Amino acid sequence: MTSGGDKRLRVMIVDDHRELLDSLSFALPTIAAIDVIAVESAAEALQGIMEHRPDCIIIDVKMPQIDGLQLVRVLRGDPETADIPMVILSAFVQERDQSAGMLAGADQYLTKPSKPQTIVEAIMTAVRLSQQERDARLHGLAEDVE
Amino acid sequence: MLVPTAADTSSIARTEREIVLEYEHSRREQILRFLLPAVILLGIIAELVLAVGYFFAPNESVRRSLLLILPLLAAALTLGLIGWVAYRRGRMTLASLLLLAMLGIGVAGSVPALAIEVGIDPLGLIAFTPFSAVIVLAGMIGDLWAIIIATLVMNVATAIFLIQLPGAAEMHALFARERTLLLPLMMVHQWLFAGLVLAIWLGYRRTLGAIGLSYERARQLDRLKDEFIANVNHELRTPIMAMQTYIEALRVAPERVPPAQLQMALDQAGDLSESLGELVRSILSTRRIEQEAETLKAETFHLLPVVQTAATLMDPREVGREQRDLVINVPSELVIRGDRIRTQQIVTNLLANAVKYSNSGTEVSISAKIVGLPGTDGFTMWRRRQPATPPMVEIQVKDAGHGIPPDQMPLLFNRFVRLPRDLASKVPGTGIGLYLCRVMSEAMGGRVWAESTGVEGEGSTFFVHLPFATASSLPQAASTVPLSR
Repeated sequence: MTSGGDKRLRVMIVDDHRELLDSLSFALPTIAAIDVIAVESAAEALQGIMEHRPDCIIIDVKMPQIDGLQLVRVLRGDPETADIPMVILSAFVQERDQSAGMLAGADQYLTKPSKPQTIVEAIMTAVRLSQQERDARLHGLAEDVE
Repeated sequence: MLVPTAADTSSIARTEREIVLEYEHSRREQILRFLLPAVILLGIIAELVLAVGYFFAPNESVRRSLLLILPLLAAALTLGLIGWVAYRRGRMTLASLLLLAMLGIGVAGSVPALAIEVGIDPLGLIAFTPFSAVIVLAGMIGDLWAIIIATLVMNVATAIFLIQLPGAAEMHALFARERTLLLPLMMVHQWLFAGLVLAIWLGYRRTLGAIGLSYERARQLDRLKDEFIANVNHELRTPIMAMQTYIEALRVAPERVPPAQLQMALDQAGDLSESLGELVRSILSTRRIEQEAETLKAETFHLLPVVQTAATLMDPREVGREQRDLVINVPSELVIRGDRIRTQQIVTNLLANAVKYSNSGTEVSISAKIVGLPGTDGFTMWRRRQPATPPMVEIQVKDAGHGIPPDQMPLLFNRFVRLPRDLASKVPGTGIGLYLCRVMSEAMGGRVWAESTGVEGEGSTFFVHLPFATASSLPQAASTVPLSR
């Protein structure tokens, strides 16, 4: 790992597709030093987040009840979780979907299908991002929109 | 009706000119459809009234003029009736020409006849054309009420013109002399005219309505297609990614995969590729459904074994692991005339839907009965005058699930339709199952529809009608009918 030496990263993945959770739970530990906490809904994520304190969260957008964008906003709004790196992984590929994701507060926006290597890179980039950089980027985005 | 449906308009090969001509044709047809009967009816009434009037005519000159008008009207009526026959045979141009000839003889012939015999100056009658023109304009701009109000106003205006307007009598000798005869005559004329304008107006309204409908339908289907593409897009991307993830991990770091996990990963990737293939096949099958519907077999078979097989064929992946109670209440003697495999498919789809869109632990039931036999339902009494409907087997699939909002019911059986609620949920689907049910049941001479209050827990009931066959028409060899014993 570039920043944390030999420390393995703990990544929480929130997606309502079980088969995708299974595949990432297999692949990420295999190709990188990443442990996966797989949860199937935003509600489960909110419950597990304090217990597991993940280093990064990967979030799907289209989920029943609370969707991914709402989850990102909730986490960014809570001081306890505001500085967790977040990556959106969604089947929505249009530009407006991407900007909606970034505006909600995600650090990276990946579209499905993405290779596991790409996901690992995105996680690393998000993890390296400091809180200051994150704030600056969000401000920049908000100004762009205006 | 000749207005093309949304399905027809999809043929891109037609030129713009052909499409315009087609609508033009349909406009003319719709106008003739109302105008011809209206003119013929008015002609018959006029002929009868004038014939009666002949015997009560006040003087010889009126009688002479009636003798001239009556055969003219009869000739016009004959032309109108021939026009109607031409219309019924689809000869629109001929029908229009005959209608014009009828009006020409009826109006242009009888007015001079009246004028010459009774001594009314035809030039004086021209003064009344603006009054009629207003009625035509009202019909072109407004609606039924505009025509009625315009006619009433023109009646009053005519009366003022004839009776009140100072100098009118001096303007034309006719107005002074024939005022008492002319006023009711003009009023009746204006109402007859309003009737004709109304007939044309109805024709226009029908055409525009039909065009609007087909346009709206085409737009809806277009929107459905967009939604479908977005939906399929989502359904495809996730499993593709899951499959890719297994393969990439095995490719990039094979040495770090323990042997036990290797087999698991390969199995998972294999399952995913299989279900992806299945998904793609079901999407591509929509075109095939329509083609296959044209080549259905006409077999005679027992319904019960088909239902039993259908129940076992529900896709376990779609249906989920939870259990529902399935109650089958199908009398064993029910026999259907149609395609056995397709019937089985219809039943499977409906059962799978019932299970998919209800919670575990609730009941799904399928029942069947015969409808449409004389005396078997309440409709027989008032339907007796209609052509007898052949007896049908009615299959009902009832669930206690989420129900279907009534406003989303009309589109339900179209291709690629999924309810907004389901699009946002985890329930998989491509919006093809119910479309298949509709196409197949209609191809067999039946139909399918659904009823639901849209209230969660009250569920929905799907009905299928398929032609009933008597048991005696069953083939003796049991080859096509695997009875369950």
